[in-house]
Amino acid sequence: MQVSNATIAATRFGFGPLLGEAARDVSVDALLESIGVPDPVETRHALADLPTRMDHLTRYRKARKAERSLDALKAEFRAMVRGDFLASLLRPLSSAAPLRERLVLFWADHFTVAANGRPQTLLASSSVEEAIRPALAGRFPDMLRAVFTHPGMLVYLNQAGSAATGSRMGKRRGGLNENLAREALELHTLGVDGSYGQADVRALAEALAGLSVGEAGFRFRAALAAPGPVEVLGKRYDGKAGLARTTALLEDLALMPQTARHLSRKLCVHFLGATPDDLIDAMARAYLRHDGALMPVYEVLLSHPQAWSPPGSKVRPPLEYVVAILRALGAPEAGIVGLRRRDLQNALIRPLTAMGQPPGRPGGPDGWPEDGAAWITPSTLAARITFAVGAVERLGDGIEPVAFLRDTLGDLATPALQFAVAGAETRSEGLALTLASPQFNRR
Amino acid sequence: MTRTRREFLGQTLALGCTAAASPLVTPVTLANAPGDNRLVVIVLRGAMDGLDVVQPHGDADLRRYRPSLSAGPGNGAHDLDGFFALHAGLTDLMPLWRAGELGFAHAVSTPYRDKRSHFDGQDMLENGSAFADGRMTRAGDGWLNRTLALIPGAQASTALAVGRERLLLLNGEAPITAWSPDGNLPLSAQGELLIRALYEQDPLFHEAAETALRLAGETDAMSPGRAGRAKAMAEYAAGHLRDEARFAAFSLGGWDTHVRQVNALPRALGELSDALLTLKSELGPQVWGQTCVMAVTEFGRTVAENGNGGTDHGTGGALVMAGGAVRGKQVVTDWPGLAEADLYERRDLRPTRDVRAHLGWAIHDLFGLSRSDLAATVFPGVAFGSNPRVIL
Repeated sequence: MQVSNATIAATRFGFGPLLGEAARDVSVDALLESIGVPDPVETRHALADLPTRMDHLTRYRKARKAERSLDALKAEFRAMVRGDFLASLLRPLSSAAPLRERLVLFWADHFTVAANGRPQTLLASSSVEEAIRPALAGRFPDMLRAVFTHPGMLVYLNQAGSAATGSRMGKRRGGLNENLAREALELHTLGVDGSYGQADVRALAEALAGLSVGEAGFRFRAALAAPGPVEVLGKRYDGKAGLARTTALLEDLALMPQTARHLSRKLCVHFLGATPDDLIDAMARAYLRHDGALMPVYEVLLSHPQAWSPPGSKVRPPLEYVVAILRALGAPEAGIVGLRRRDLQNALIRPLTAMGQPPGRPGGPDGWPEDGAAWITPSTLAARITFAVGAVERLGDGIEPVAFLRDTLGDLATPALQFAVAGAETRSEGLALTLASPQFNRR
Repeated sequence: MTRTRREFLGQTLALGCTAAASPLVTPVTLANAPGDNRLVVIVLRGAMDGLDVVQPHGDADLRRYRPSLSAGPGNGAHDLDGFFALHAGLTDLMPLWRAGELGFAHAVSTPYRDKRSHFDGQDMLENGSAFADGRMTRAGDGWLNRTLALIPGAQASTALAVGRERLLLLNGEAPITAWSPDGNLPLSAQGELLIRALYEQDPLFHEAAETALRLAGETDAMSPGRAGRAKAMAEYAAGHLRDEARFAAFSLGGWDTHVRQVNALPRALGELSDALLTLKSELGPQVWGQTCVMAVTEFGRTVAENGNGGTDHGTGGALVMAGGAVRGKQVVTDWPGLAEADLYERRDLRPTRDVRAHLGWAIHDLFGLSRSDLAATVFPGVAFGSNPRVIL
C-alpha cells in the first residue's frame, strides 16, 4: 500500500488530522523543530504549579488534624484535578505540534507516577509538567534528575522515607526502601535485561537515600543519606552525602550504553512497533555521542526509512484514541471546558476507564502496555465502539460520512472501509464505522 | 537480531490466535464435555506477603524481623494449627477453613529469582516455564491455555478470562472466552454486520469483536465501583462456571505493600475474601463442591519489615486454595525456617516448592491429565515431586 508522508506523519507521529483539514505534508526538520517549541494551547490550559500543590497538601493535612471543615479544600482539589485532566486532553486536541504532545505521553509513561490517592494525584501531573515537559528537547540525564528530585516520583515509589543503612535516621529507625532503586534500573535506565542484580539494587537504594520531600517540595535530607562513600555498578562515589553526589551518580547511570539502548529500543517500540537493530544502534550511538541529548536521537529515528513505512502496527491507547476522535469530529475546546463535573465523568472519564485506561492510573510503575493485544479485548473494544457512537451523536451533525472517511484516514481508507461507510443505514453510523475501524484504532 | 522477552511476548500476542468464541461454533455436546470439576485461578498482582497472610507465629524468629506486622493470634489473627495464623483481613473465610474448604501452601514460589521484577515474575508465573532467568516457553503462551489443549472436548466456552486486561495465563492457541461484566454495544443490526466485515481483515479486532457481539447480549450494562469489582468478576465467572465453563481466571491487584502494610493489606484481602465468598454463594453447594480455586502471586515479600511499615519484594510466599473440591484445613509446607542462615540470600523466605507443582497436581487430580502431559506441555521443566493430595 502506498501511503503519503502526510498521512504517516499525522498517524504515526500525531493524533490524526483535525476536522476539515486533511493531513498535511511535513518535513523531518519541521517535525523536529516543533518538539522544542511550546504551543499557545499549553499556556491557555496551564496547570497549577508545584508550590501551589504542596501548599494545598499542607493546608489539607493541617485542617484534617484540627478537624476543621474540608469542604473548601476538597473543592480546590477537584478543581486542580479537573484542570489537569482537561489539559491532558485539550493540549493534544488543539496543539499544532502533535509530536511534542506524543513525546510528553511517551516520557510520562517512561517515568510513570500513578495518581493513586490524594497527594499522588496532585503530584503525578506536576511531575510531567515540571520535570518532563521542559526536558523534552534537552538531555535525558537532566530529565532523569528532574524526575528523581520531584516529589511525585519520590512519593510514588516510596523513596522519600528510605534511610541508608549507616545514616543517622537509619541507625535510629532502620528502613531502606528498594522500590525506586529497583525501578530506576529496571524501567528508567538499564532495562530489565540490563546486567545488574539484587546487590546493585541494594547499592543504588543506599545511594539514593536522602532524596526526600519537605513541605515546600523536594528536599535532600542528609539524615537519611549514606554518610560514607557509595558504590554503584562498580563505580565509587567518594563525595560527602549530598545532592551533588546523587546527581553525579544519576548522570552516570543515564549515560551508560545499556541505558542508551534501552531508551532507543523503547522509542522504536512506541513509535514504529518495530525494533530494527541498525536503527537502535544508530540511536544509541547518537545518544552517547551527544551526552544524552534527545534531539539527535529523535532525528535518527525520524530519518530512518522504517519511520515512513505504512503505519498500523500499533494500537492507539485509549487516551490517544479519544483525542483522535475529538480532533476528527472537530470538538470545540470550549465545549469540553464547559462540561459539568458529572458530564465530564460520563462523557470522557468513564469511557476511558472502560477502554482500559483510567486517566492517570496505570496498574504499576511500568506504565501502560505497548502491545496492541493488551488494549483490544472484547470488552475494551466494545467500549471503544460505544465511545465512537456516542461522540458521533454529540459532535457529528452535518458531517458527510464519505468525505469524513477521506479526510480522516486519507490513503489508509481501504475499499472495504469505503464500502462499509457508504453502506451504513444512517449517516451517524457511517461516521462511527470510520472511527471504529481497525485503521482508525491503529497507528 | 536479539529481542527482549517482553517484545517477543508483545509480538506473539499481536499475532495471537486466541480464536474467540464465534456464535457459529456448535454448542458443546454432553458426550464431549470435559468433566464436572472446575478450576478458578486468581492472579494476585503485586506480590502478596505470604508471611503476613499466613503468619508462622510458631517460628520464634518471626518477631525479630517484624516488630509491627504478622503479630499473630492475640493481635487479631486466627490461629490455624498452632504454628500458622490467618490474617484478620480474612476473618470472613474462617468458616471455610473450619469446613475444610480453605487451605494454604507455604514457602512456595516460581523459580524466578533475584531481579524481583513484578512484571517478569508475573510473566513467569503465568507462562509456566521453569527457566530461572525468566525466559518464556517458545510460544510465549499461558499454562492454563496449554492445559485446555489437553482437555478432551474443550471449546472456547470451556475457559473464561474475566476482566478488561488480557491474561497471559489464558493466552495461546486454544480458543477461550474473554469478557468483562460491564460491557455493552450500541450498534444497529446493520451496523453490526458492517463492523464485522471491517474487522474480518484484522485478526486482533476480529476475535475481540466476535466475543463482544455475542456476550453483549448476555450481560446488562453495569459499572461496579472498586469495592464491587472483585464481587462482580466472581459473580460473572460463577455464572459461566455453572454453565459450560470449567476454567475461569481473573486477577486482583493491590498487593504491593511497600508502605503501611497494616492498612494496605486488609484492603487487598477484603477483595480476595469477597471474591471467594461470592464464588461459593453464586456457584451453589453442588458446583462449589466440584470447584477448586487457586489464588497465586508472583513472589513473596522480604521477611523483615522496611522502614515504612511495609515490606519489599522477596521470594518465597504463600498459595491460597479454596473450594469444596479442596482438602482444606491444612497448611501444606516443607517449612524452611526463618533463622538468618535459612533465608534465601539472608533476606527472603526460602522457597521449598515450586508453586506450579501444586497447580499441576490440582489439574492432574481434577481433570485426569497425566503427569507426563503436565511435565511435557503444561509446566515444562517444573519439578512436581510427590502429590500433596490437596484435591478430595
